[in-house]
Amino acid sequence: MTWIRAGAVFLLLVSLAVVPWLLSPYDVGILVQVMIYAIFAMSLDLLLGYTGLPSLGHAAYFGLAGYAVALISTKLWTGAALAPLVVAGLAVTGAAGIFFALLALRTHGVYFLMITLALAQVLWGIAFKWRSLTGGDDGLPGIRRPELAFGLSLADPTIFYFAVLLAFVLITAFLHVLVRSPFGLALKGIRDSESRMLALGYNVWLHKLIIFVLAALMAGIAGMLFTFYNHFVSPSDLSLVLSAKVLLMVTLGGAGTLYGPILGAFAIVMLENMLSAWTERWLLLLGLLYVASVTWAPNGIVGFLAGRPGAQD
Amino acid sequence: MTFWIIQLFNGLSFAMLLFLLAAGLSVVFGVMKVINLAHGSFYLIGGYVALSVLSATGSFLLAAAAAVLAGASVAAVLQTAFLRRFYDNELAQVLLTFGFLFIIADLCLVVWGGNPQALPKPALLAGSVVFGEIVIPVYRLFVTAVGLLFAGALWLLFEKTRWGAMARAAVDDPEMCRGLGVNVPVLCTSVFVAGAALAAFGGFMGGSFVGVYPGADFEILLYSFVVVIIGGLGSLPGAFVGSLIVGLLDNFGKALFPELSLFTIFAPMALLLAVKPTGLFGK
Amino acid sequence: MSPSQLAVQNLDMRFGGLEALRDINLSLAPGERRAIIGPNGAGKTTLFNVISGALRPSRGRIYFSGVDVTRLAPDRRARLGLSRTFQMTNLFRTLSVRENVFLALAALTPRKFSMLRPLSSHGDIARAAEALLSDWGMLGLADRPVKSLSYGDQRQVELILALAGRPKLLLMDEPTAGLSPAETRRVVDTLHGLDKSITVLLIEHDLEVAFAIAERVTVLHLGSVVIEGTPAEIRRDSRVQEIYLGGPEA
Repeated sequence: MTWIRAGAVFLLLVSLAVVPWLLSPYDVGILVQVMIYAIFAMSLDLLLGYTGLPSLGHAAYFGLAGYAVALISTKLWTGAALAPLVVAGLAVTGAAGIFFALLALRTHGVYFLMITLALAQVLWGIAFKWRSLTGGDDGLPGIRRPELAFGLSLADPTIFYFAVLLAFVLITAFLHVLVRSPFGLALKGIRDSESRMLALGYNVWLHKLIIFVLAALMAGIAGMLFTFYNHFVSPSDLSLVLSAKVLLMVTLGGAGTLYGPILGAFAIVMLENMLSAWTERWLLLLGLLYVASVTWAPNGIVGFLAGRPGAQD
Repeated sequence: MTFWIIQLFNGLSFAMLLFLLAAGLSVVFGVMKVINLAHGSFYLIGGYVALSVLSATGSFLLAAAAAVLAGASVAAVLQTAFLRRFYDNELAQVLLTFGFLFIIADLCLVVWGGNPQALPKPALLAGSVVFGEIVIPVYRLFVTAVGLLFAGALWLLFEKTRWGAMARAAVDDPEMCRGLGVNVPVLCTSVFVAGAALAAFGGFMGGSFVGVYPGADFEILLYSFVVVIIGGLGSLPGAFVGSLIVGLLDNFGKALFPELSLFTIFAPMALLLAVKPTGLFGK
Repeated sequence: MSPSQLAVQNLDMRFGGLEALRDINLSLAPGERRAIIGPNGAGKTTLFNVISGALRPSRGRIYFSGVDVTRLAPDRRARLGLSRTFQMTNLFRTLSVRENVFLALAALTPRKFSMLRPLSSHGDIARAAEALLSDWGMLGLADRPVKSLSYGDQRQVELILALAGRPKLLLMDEPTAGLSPAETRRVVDTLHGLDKSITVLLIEHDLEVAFAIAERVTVLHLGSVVIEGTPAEIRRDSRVQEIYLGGPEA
C-alpha cells in the first residue's frame, strides 16, 4: 500500500471517528446504516463478484441472524451481554448457511440462482406465517441493545456508532486481506473457470462451501447490528426486496471490487433516505435503478470511475 | 375420505394453474437461457387488467382477451427494448428482469391499490358439483380442464409445428440454430411473449380462487421456481409433472399443516436437489 | 507385467442413444509418448474427458498409477498426478499470467486455503512462479491479464499450468491447433525436451506433429480403436489411409 493510500485511509478513519461530535444524530444514524449495509454488500460481493455465485437470497442470513438475537434476547436469555448473544446468533446463521450451502451447491448457474431465492423465500414464509414465534407481519419490537463491559451500553448512540464502526473497519480489513490471499485467488479462479480449477486439483465444492458460510456469517453480523439499531426485526429483513437491494448495491458499486459495494451501499442508503421523504414509490425507483445501472454502467460506479463503464469481456 | 377427494381436486386445479405459469418460465429459459424474474408480474398484470375490464364491461371473454393482450404487449416491449440488447449476457438479463419485477409491482400498486382482490366467477361456473357428501366448485373443475387442454395444446405446438421445432432446436443447440438460419432474435421474442401471455391468462384464471394482490407476483414466482427446480428447466413434461407435485403437496400441506406453509414445498425440493440437482426431466 | 501409468479397460461411453466410445482398451507405460489420432467425431476428446474425469463412462474401468479412478472426481485425479490441457484454451482470463501460474502451483499444497497472507508473502510459491515464467520466456507478460495475450501465448500458458504441478501423466488436447508453423515447432521441441518421467498422451490433428512426438500411435475411428503401433507402422497401414483419405478430410 502506497503512502498516499495509507494516508488517505488514515484521514478517512479519523474523520469517521470524530463524526458523532460533528454531525447531527440523524446523520450519524445514516452513517450507521451505510456501514451496516456495506458489510452486508461486501459479504454478497464475496459470493457474486469474487466466486461467481449469483445468490438471490442473501437476505436470508441477514434476517435470520436478526430474528435469532431478537428471540434469544427476549424469550430465552433476557439481559444477555453482547458477546454470547452474537455467538449464539452466528451459530444459528452459520448452521443455516451450511445447510443451505449443502443444498444449493449441488446446483450451478441458473438453478443456483433459483434455489437461493427459493430458500430465502421459505424462511420469509415461515417468519410471516408463524405468528406465535415470530410475530408474523408485525415482527418483534422492543429489542433492547445489549450491555458491553465496563458499564458501557450499546443503547448509547455514540457507543453504538463506534461498535458498528469497529465492526465495519475490522471486516473491511479482513476482506481486504482475504481477496489478496491464495484463498481469494482461488475464488477468482473458480469464477473464471471451474473446470480449470478442477483440472488443477482444487476441491472447488469445498472452497465454495467455505465462502458461502463465511458470507452468510458476515451477512449475519450485519443483520444483528441492524436489528439492534432498529430495536426491531420483521419479515422484511428476510425479504426478496432486501435481497434485491443488496444485490443492487453490489452491482451498482462494482462487483468483484470489494470497495465498490461500499460505495453502492452509500449510494442506495442516501437515495432511499432522501427520496422516502417525498415519495412512497421507492420500489419503482429501485427497479428503475436496476434497469439503468445494467444498461449504462454494468461495471458499476467503480468501473465508471476507472474509465471502464461498459462490460469487460 | 371426502376431505381427501375435495383436496385432491383443489390441488389439481392449483396444479394446472401452476402449469400455465411454469411452462412459460421453463420454455423461456430453455430457448433464451434467461430466468425471467418478472414472470410472476405477468400473472399480476393479467389478473388486474381482467379485473378492470370485467368491471367495466361485464364480459369475461373480453377480460380474458385484454389480460392476455396486456401481458403480451408488456412482454414485447421489455424484450425488444431491453432484454434483446443483452442477448449473450445472462446475468444482465436476470438483473434487468429483477428491475422489471419491482417496477411492475409498484405500478400495479399505484393503479389498483393495495387491497387484495378477487375476480368474480362467471355465473355459469359459479356453482358446485355435488356427489353425495363431496362438493366441488365447478370453477375448479373448469380450471383443471382448461389446464389440461393447454397442456395438450402446448405439446402439439412444440412437437408438431415448425415454430415448436425451432424452439426445441434452440433449447438443444442455439449455435446450430443460428447456423441453420433460424432468426433467433425473433424466435426469442415470440417465445418470451408467448410465455407472458400464458402467465397473464393464468392471472385471469387464477384471479378468482388465488386472487390478485400485491405480493402475488412474488408468490407465483416462487411456486414457479419450485416447479421448474423439481421438474427441470426447458422441459414441458417436467413443468407438468412438477406442477402436479407442487400443486398437490402444497394444497394438502396447507390443509393439514397451515402454519408450516412453504415448508411442504421446501421438503420435496430439498429432496430432489439431493438426488438429481437438474430436476426430474432436466439435463 | 510391468505397471502401466494409465490403463483403460473395456471403456464404453454412451450419450442417450449415441455411442461415442466402444470397447476402448489402452495401456500407457510410464514415460511413454502416445498420440491418439483419428478423423473428426472419432471420439478423441470424449475419451480425454472420460480419462480426466469430466465424464463418467457407461462401462469399463480406468486405472491411473494402479489406482482405480473410474469413479473419482476430476480434482481427485489431478491431485494424483493427472494433468491436462484443453482444446479450447481454458485459462483464468481476468487474472494475470503470474496469478494463473500461482494458482497452478498452489493447487497441490495446503496454502490454497490461506486467507490471511497476501500472495507475495508466500515466497516459495512466488519464486517458483517467477522461475517458471522466466524459463518459458514469459516474464515480460507476467502481470498482464491473460485475456490480453495472443492466442499462441495463451496456449503456452495453458501448457505451463498443466506442467506446474509436476504431473505423472499429461493429457494434451490438440496442443498445436491454431498455431503458426513456428509456434508448432516450439511445442514439438518443448515436448521433446520434457522430463522423461512424465507420460504424455496427446490428441493431434496434425499427423506430422503426432508422428514426430509419439513413440506409439493409437488410431480411433467412430468410437473404436482401429489400430495401434509405431508411427512407421501406422503410416504404412492401408486402413489408416482409407480412414483419412477415403472419409471426411482430417
